[in-house]
Amino acid sequence: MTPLAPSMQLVPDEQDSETYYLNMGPQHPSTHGVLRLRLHLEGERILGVEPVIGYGHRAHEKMAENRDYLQFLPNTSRIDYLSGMIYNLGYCQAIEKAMQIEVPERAEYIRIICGEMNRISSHLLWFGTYLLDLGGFTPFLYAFDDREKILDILDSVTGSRLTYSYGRFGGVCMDVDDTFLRAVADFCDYFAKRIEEYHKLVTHNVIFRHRTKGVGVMGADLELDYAVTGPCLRAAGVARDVRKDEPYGIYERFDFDVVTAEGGDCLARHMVRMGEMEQSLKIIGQAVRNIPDGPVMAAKVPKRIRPPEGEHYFACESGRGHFGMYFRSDGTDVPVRMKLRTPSFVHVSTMPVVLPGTMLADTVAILGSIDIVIPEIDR
Amino acid sequence: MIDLVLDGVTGSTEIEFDERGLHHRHEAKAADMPAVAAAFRTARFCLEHITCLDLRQVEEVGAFRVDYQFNRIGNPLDRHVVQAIVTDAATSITAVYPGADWYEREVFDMHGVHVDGHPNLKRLLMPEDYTGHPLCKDFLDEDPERHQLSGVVIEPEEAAGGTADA
Amino acid sequence: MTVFLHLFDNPWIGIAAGTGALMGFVTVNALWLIWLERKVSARMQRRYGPTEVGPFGLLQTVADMLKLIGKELITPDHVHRPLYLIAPVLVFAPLVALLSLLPIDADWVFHDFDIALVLLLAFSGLNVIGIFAAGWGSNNKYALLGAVRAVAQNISYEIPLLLAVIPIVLMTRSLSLHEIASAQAYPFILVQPLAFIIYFISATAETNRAPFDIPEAESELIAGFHTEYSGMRFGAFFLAEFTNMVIVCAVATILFLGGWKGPLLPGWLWFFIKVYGLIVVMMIFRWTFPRLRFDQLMTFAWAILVPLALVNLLVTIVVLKL
Repeated sequence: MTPLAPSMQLVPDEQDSETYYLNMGPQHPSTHGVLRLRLHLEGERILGVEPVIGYGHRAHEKMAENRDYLQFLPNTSRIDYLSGMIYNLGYCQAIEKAMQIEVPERAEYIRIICGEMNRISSHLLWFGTYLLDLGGFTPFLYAFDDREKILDILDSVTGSRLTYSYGRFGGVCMDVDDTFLRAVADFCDYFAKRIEEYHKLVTHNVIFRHRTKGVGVMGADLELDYAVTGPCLRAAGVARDVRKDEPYGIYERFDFDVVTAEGGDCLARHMVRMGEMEQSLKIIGQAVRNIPDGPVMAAKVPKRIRPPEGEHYFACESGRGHFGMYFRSDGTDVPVRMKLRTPSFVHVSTMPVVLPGTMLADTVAILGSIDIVIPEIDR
Repeated sequence: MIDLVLDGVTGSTEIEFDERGLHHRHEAKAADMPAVAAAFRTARFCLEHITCLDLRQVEEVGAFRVDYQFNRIGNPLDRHVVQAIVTDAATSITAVYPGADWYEREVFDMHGVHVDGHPNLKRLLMPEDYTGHPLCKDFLDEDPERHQLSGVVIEPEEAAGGTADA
Repeated sequence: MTVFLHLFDNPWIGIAAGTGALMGFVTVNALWLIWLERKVSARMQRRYGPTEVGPFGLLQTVADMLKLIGKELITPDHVHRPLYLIAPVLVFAPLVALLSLLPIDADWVFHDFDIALVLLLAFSGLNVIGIFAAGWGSNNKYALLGAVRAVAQNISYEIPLLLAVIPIVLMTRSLSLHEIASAQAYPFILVQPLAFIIYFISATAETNRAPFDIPEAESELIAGFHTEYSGMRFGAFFLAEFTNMVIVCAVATILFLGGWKGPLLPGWLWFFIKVYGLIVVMMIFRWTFPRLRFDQLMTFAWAILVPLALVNLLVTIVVLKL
């Protein structure tokens, strides 16, 4: 059993003049949002870290207790705005599972396509901003160029670029046409070549490898202690993916691999995410080929959504990891409690274990590589 | 099918996974939670989350309830929820699962449930000098000082009589 | 400068005119280089860069400079005023002085100094003092971190810089830039390719350009040693960086690429083509590579560049003796 990680409380020691305290404050170019890291440094080496969160707390869980299930639907996209589609569709699927609503086939396929496109766009943004943190300014623009294509495609059917309210209980709200499917197929062909370019530009770059190899090792033992999930866990060699372990929607019909890497360092996490983008392309390709015709909304959806009394749980795989919704219903329109278990919450709480011993420049590299989204932590 | 020995629980039920997303529900006493958590840890479960529910208005419960969710690594998937009714304070399981640290701080922050044995029990999401526990059902944010915009001071009489939003 | 001293009767007017000419060059050079950087980086990043202000966006930098000059010079309360105020001057002034040493054509040099190379290397060191004064005087942990890194980096990379230059000196037996350039019947890069590479890498590090821009690493240290500077004081650092780039690339041209020599076109045109060509290469470096971590940077200097430069020097000595 690993020893207890000290819940870091950095109290400055008046007698200590060899070390100093630096605030990577809420406003910082590399903390990816409003996260505050109180760092205890000796020269450039980190002795201790205390993450301070809550700057982006918007009370989503409280809002859930004061709205009915349909009114909460737009909130779900804004919890993690980079995986907005995945969260939105996941929430719909959670309620559908609780209410035993059957979703038509075509809607399921559309959900898969949109969810995986969202995953690619989330990973692309991670890729661009990670390189920006490391000092390589150019891949950011290339990644955003590709991301614009995804956003335009999703915009054409949902009407939104970032935070979608596309799902409904029982399906999706609008059907897609052949233009959309052609655009998706074209994007898949185009992007497969772009990933090759990114590998050439970044993955094989010697400076990038120096900055990421062996840096910020998050081992598989963190999984048990902290419940680390997603690419951070798969980079340590543990093949866990909600889409394979407990398939939701129609994921069990699709042939894709769970990408893992060895080592658990920043480079491994990079390789896992690049691989995941390729796997998403594979899934999208299969979905586009096999999508059937039919309705996109269930025939009989109850007018009032009242899940059975008691606790319900639903999990889906977002860009960051395992996203879980645990809610208690008392048979009325409004949930008693909606708990949103978000992956970034856990990942930042591992920082006091992972960061000490590294250098200040590595902090930026590690923080970028675990791919956190602060609104998801604070909700 | 439970293949782990849970001594500390007072009751267990099996749940239909396809309807609820969970496999088992257990009840336990708040003070026994570290032992229960240790049993799960030995059987290589990970701690998915810790949640608190304000069930003081619900007749069967009448108190806060802290739910711990454990998830098995690998096949087969096995999800357990341990529900502990908290009358005065919960007990920390950070000695078993270091990841429980922040979850318990959030429980304290949002519901005011004190967690015994926690190494650093201070507020997580709200500012450290905040008063009140937002996710409690009876939470009313009517502190007039909090609604001060620059230059606009709401007198206490106004806040009590009129609307509280600025 | 000697040119200007003789041009006017009053030597003081001559000095003033000379300084004015140099400052004029610095400003125009900065205007042109900033535009070039923005265009080069934009084209590498699939975008256009400035296009609106003036033809091809050429007047964009003029607009930016006017804006920068018009900004309020905010001096934060907590800074150490003497150091804070003198730092931009310390960074900027030596470089302007160095511009007067560069021979642009066979008979075009402000001041033909016979130990110009030594002066150049010495004044480049003064740059470090200015950076450190900025970081220390800012009384800010981020600025101090940036300054400390800058000092270590600049001092470390001066060694390979010097060691790469010495073979050229041995070959031409002169420290005067004018004589070295004149002595090149063929560009010295052909016989000293390793020295050129080492010099160029060290020069990029000396000017704090990416991938060696740790002192002002935006994503880690906000803005490094010039975090607390705004307005024209920041402009001074900025100008100093571009002037430094010109100086090191000019030295590279003179030492390795034959200075003003070249067919057909007039000498000064060749000089500028070579200098700005090298600067474009520096810019491409910046927008291609991520940043090296600080300890990797130091390892690179001490464990790789210095031994290589020493080996090169030894080989040169042996070959020259034979």
